[in-house]
Amino acid sequence: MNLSQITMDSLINWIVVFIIVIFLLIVIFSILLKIDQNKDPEASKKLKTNISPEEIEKASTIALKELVVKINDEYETKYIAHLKMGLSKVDATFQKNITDSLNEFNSSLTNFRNESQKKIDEANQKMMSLTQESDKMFNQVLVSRKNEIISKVDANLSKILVSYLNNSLEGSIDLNDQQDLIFNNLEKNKLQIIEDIKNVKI
Amino acid sequence: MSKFSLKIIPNEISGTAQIYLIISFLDKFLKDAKSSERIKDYGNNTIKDSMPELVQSFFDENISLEDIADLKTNLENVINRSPVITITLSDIPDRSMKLKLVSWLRNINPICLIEFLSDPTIIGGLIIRSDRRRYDLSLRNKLENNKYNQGVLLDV
Repeated sequence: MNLSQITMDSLINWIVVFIIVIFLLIVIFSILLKIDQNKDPEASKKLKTNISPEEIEKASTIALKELVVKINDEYETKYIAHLKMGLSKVDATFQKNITDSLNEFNSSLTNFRNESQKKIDEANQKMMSLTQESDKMFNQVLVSRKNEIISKVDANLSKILVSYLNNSLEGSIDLNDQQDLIFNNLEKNKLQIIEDIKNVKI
Repeated sequence: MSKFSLKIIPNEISGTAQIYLIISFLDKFLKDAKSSERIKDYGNNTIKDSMPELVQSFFDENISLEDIADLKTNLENVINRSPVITITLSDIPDRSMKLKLVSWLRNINPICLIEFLSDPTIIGGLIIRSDRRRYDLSLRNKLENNKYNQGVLLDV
């Protein structure tokens, strides 16, 4: 074995050793780097900062939209539920008010009917008693005036009628018997007759 | 210038027919007086004296032919304008009754005219008809309208 061959072999050996050492160093460095990342959370953020602003904006927009949709959904759901609840309360209140009013009206109507009936009954009773009294009084007056009426018949009507009948049988009627009747009637209607004939001038 | 103006109509002259008769008489009188040229013969006293009493009763004092002409005109106006009252009685009234009725009505209007009718069916009382209204004050009307109220009827 010559010298040059020995030197060549040792060089190759050294190169192989050097490569192995480099590989090991890389492995060790990478392990250490991972450990550091786990220990420091900011490291990940620092890593994300490497993302481009366009990507960040796009992601934010989407998230924002999603958030808005979510808020709207929740709001609508809650608002409708609130409205429904409110309406049901209003319905119940309205119904209660109407029912109360109807009940009150019915009771007042019943009271009014009862009172009216009572008043009508009282009025009927009073009328009955008054009618009975007035009938009594009328009968008394009628009886008390009977003689007077008969005397008037004799004095006035009977005189005229008898005179008329007697004279008509003889073909004549004496107007002189009626003078009092005629002029009394004229005097009774004088005012109206005056109105008819007084205001004429030649 | 005539001073005559008609203020009253004598009660003896009640209706239109009598007024017409008087107008007719006055007309004839005036024509006769003018045509026979007797105007000069009529003095203030003689004119009135030559008239019938019924015509004389229109005048208070002595009259002239102008007064007579005015009376004629006035009477024509009376016929045209005066209210005419028709009185229906159960019989034709005598003079006394007529005068009483005319007097009663002329106290209201001195120049109203009154016509008399008779209708035995009204039994008694009277019916007065003016230009405006009719008043049935007859006994027949009272009997018909007061069958159930004899007390009021008997107050006649």
